[in-house]
Amino acid sequence: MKIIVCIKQVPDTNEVTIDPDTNTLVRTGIPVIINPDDKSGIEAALTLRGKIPGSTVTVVSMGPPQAEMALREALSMGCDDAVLISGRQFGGSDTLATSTIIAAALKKIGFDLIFTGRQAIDGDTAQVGPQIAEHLGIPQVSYVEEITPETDSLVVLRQFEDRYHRLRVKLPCLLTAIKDLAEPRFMTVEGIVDADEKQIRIMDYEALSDVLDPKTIGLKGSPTNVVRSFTKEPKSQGAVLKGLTADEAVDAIMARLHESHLV
Amino acid sequence: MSKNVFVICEQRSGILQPVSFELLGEASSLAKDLNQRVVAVLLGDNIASHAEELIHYGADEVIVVDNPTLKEYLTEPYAKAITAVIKAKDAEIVLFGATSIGRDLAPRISARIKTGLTADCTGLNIDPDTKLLMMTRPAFGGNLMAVIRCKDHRPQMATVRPGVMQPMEKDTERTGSVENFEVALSEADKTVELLEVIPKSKTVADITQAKCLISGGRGLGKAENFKILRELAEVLDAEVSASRAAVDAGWIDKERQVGQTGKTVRPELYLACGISGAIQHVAGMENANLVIAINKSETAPIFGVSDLGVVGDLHVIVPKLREAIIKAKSAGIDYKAPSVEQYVGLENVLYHVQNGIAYLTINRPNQLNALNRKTLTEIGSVADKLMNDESVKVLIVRGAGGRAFVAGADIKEMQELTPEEGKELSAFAQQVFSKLKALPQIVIAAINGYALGGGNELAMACDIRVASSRAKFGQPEVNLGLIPGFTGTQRLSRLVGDGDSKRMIFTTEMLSAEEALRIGLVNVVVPPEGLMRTTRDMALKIMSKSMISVKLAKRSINEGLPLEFQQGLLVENDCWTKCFEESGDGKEGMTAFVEKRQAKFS
Ligand SMILES: Cc1cc2nc3c(=O)[nH]c(=O)nc-3n(C[C@H](O)[C@H](O)[C@H](O)COP(=O)(O)OP(=O)(O)OC[C@H]3O[C@@H](n4cnc5c(N)ncnc54)[C@H](O)[C@@H]3O)c2cc1C
Ligand SMILES: Cc1cc2nc3c(=O)[nH]c(=O)nc-3n(C[C@H](O)[C@H](O)[C@H](O)COP(=O)(O)OP(=O)(O)OC[C@H]3O[C@@H](n4cnc5c(N)ncnc54)[C@H](O)[C@@H]3O)c2cc1C
Repeated sequence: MKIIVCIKQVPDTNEVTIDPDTNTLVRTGIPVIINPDDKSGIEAALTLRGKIPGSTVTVVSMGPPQAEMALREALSMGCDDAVLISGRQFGGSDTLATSTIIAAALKKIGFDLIFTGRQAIDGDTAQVGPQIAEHLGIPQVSYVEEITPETDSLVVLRQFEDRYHRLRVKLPCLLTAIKDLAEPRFMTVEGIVDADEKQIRIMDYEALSDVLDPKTIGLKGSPTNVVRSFTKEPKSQGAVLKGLTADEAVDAIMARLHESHLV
Repeated sequence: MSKNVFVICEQRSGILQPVSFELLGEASSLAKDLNQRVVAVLLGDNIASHAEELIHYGADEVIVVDNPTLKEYLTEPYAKAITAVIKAKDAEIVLFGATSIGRDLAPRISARIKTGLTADCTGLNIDPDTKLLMMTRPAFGGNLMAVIRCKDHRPQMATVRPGVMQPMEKDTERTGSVENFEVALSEADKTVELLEVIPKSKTVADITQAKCLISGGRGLGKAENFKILRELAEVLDAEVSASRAAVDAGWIDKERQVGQTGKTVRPELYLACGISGAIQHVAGMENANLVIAINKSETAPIFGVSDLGVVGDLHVIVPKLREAIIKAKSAGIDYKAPSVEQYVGLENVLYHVQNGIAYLTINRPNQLNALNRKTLTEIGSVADKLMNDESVKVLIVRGAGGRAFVAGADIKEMQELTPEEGKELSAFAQQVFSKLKALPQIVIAAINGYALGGGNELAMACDIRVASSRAKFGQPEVNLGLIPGFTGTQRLSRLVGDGDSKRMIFTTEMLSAEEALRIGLVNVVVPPEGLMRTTRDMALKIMSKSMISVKLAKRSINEGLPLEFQQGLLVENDCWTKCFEESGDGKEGMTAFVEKRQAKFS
């Protein structure tokens, strides 16, 4: 079985700070990581490979040349090969354009099972996975929490707010991984050494030009665009009481609850 | 040409989900701005009976796709049916709830139709110039807000975060049309095989619907300690919620997580215990009406978003708080006072008081809240009532219906007036608006849309004006052969000066909110979805000060303004002196300052 995992290199949004003077995101010096949901996808793919003889795991990322770092990390975790989709024509793509490009590359690479993360922590849209599936004309199951392989199909547990679905889905298909799917393993020293020896295949615009309509990619090919962005205005602050005894604190809270007719 | 605002209504097991009503409310205001209709799309098996309810909540048309294949949500049959509807009806805008269903379905459809999709929006509005849908959404874990548009592709599609938009009041008198839409669906459209539907742990409460939430974080220390929160919640009729740290630690169910990756809540009360207030957490609770935080660290960011913060140990305070509440209840004190008190006898305005803030809503949305004599009379009687109501500290004046604050006076009523009658009407309106200005309370106008003619005059009769970015201001009287006569010529010139007031009145040109801000006609401009929150926050901020001083300052400014400078100083001197009298707050305020404690103002 040929398993693909789509991974995105993202800034660690835990570390993102706001410049109080300019009120903009501080982007420099922020560590970059593999998107957390995608790491669960890698782990699930590696586990499946262990269960199904003859399987391989290919990691695919679209991004600038630096995204190679994310691919190297995935190789060090044990993935078999890696593809970097990179080209200036791809820059500024929204989710529709991104998914169009990744789907085109996947057609060339070939696949039986595709993993994406549910959501990337920077763009936060959770749209790229389902859109890739649609472009490829294969079924999707999002928010996957559990996978049991069968011949030619998988039985998966899919999470909703209020329920689960247990579904059988035939291959080829696309699954979006959530954190609960699998606890990612760490890189191993052997893995890192092996990874260093592996070649990362680069796919640029030329490599995909026969299957890509240039009008559907990049900034120009994106139906949506960001008009402006701003940091949120913090809510105004109320009183902060300190140095009170517990009873005084309770009195202060009671007064406020009373005033709001809550007690 | 594409037209109409479509809402994909979500149902689960035949029950309409709250987000559907929220979206209908928002769609109604968008559709008004576009002069188009709201179309609800309802999919399911044996579902048609719900169509009426969607009309009551704002749909003008309901398209029902009733098919056994749509009984339980599966991506492909739903995507196929909705794509068929969107294509047949040539939709301008399509909205989905940003639920685990909507966020699975909408991207699949966007890729099929090849149009843009904006994810997880928290604000929507129509650009007045381009008529494009402007979609505001958080990204980077809530650190950044982005405004997104979809210029050339149709429909413009968005998923919208549950709990953020406001549903309309249910109106069982509303009428609309229902269409049964046939889509050829069969078992073959199910590209996955549904083996089993497993409900999640039976009794998980829906924290988004709770009136009060007691929320716990890592500061609780261990799972067992949630017990004290549950006990407190019981006496307050509240639900228990949590931060992600508490959920990740396995102390509490994920369904109760508040925040960016949890639920967005807007309860009356949010009591945060041992929660630091990370931005991703705050993203889910900042719209709560009253936020109280208990945290042992003075520098916890949660205090920055709290109405009241207490620095202390939750393990001590929470049990004591529970005892105090039980005691207060058993002491027989009537703490169950209704939070909303309706003032009866009014037809064209709504009036209610909540937490010391009174809301006066001009309520003739179908006439864009135009002022007729009856409405003016009712504003006058609310002002009379407030004149002696010490319990109300701030009055917020607003317009019903999302489109207009007040779009002018009722022209039909004025058409046939004799000069004497005209004189009398102007004098009457002047008197009502002067009464409003002279109220002891602080009066804030929350201007959501058109403030034209009498509407702009009403806004100017308030102390402070907060405007939505889609508000519009103008004095169009000279178009009708009139002049502003409800205090407009006098107040506008005093407020924005000679030239700008004359420009507005002579040209009748409408000003955008930004332009109104620039010339000083309004004081704050906020995105539409932030209007009431900003206004309420401003009211609460004022109310946390010495109200005696605030009122004296208002009097000093109001009475001094029409006077010569030197005479104005005498008024100021007089009001200042009152701060030092027995009834004043000066002594307490300054003593507290020196003693470095929180002042207790009367
Ligand atoms: C502030 C901001 C807001 C935006 N809002 C929108 C919007 O509302 N609509 C829109 O269409 N675009 C939007 N974009 C553009 C969007 O972020 C980019 O298109 C981005 O490349 C993909 O979206 P995402 O990060 O949300 O990914 P998601 O859809 O959240 O990612 C889901 C999964 O898809 C896979 N994946 C995503 N990107 C890649 C990649 N480059 N390489 C390999 N795998 C990948 C990963 O497995 C990932 O876990 C926005 C961009 C910014 C900066
Ligand atoms: C992409 C992303 C999404 C996220 N989504 C969410 C989300 O949806 N919701 C969410 O909540 N978080 C979310 N987080 C996590 C968030 O960044 C914080 O890590 C989390 O909210 C912290 O939880 P906490 O406040 O309970 O814990 P901490 O930050 O550890 O705070 C504990 C607090 O308890 C106080 N405390 C300790 N003991 C006591 C005591 N005895 N009495 C009183 N106070 C005490 C401490 O002073 C401290 O302030 C997300 C993070 C990321 C990166």
